[in-house]
Amino acid sequence: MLRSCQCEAEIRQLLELGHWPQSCPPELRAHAESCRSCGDLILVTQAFQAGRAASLSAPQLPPPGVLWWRAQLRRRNAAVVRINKPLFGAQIFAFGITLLVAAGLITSQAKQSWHWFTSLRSEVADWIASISQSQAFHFQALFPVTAIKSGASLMYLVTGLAMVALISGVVLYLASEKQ
Amino acid sequence: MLWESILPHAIASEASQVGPKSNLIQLRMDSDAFAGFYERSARPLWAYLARVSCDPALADDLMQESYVRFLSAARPPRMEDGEVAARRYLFRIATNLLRDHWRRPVSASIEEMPEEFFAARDESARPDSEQNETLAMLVPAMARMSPRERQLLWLAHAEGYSHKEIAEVTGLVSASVRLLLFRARRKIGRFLREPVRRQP
Repeated sequence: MLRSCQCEAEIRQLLELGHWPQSCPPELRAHAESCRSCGDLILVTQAFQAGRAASLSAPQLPPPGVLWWRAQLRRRNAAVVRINKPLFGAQIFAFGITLLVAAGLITSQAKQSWHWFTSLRSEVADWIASISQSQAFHFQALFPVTAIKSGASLMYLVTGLAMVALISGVVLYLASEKQ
Repeated sequence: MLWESILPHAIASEASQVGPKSNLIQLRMDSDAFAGFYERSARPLWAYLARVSCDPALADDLMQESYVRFLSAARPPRMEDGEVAARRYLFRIATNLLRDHWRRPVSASIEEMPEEFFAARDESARPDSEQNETLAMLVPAMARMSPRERQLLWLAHAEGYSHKEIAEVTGLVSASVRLLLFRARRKIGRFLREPVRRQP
């Protein structure tokens, strides 16, 4: 049960000022001897004050400049992390956009590229067949003219692949820059 | 030596904004002001950490970490609150670090830590090495108390904090502090009255 004595505050004040027991009235001293709560207060406070005084000389303190320096370093690192946060977000965004563009490009070019590939294959087959059937070697047969004519899609494909390579390079550069 | 002089300009300028309108006590204060504050507060802080944790080596580490966090704090105490508020803030950081340290092992709360875990770890505080009769009596009694009780007792009787200040430092409610402190004082009073049992 919590029962605090009325004299506790006065005794605590005397203890904090270091006036106990020299400067305290005799009746208060007599009360402290009979009151368990005040007796505990005096005993514990004196023990802890003495313990504190004995402990103050114990530590080997590091110089304050070291702590100051460590705090500054920590603040600088925190600032760097804070600054890099939006950059990292931008890198993620760029990577996502790159993937979307690449997927769209491949989808749009796949059909035309397939047509070009099939026509090229047939031209090559015809050319090989004509070579095998001809008596002499015809240089003009080396160039699949029809394939080149239908190769507008080839230009698209090469351009698309170059764009993907370029954007991927930018993304890789941004990612490696952070590291 | 002005430490911010060897830092990058952006950070150094932020650290050295000491002007009449600046009312923050730290990081806005220069290294000399910090050195003064450190000289006045480091030893009491170490004593608190060492006696509550019963581990001087841990107290060394936590004291340094407390100051670094104090200097890096986003919301430090204001100058108008004075050094007392700054010191209280420092003790609060140290108390939180102690709690984090105790929570790191398996136990989820410092209240669940066994007393044996904390007892007999304070090699420097043993009576033989302290050469102090009061400590010879106090240290074994402290070792038998729970960490929370040690915190409350030290803050109240060694540092002279009021219930309200202890509540701020420990994060407890002021009424709870009063009750817990009363019980802890009674308990350690009983231990202090017992004759000292010397360990072999």
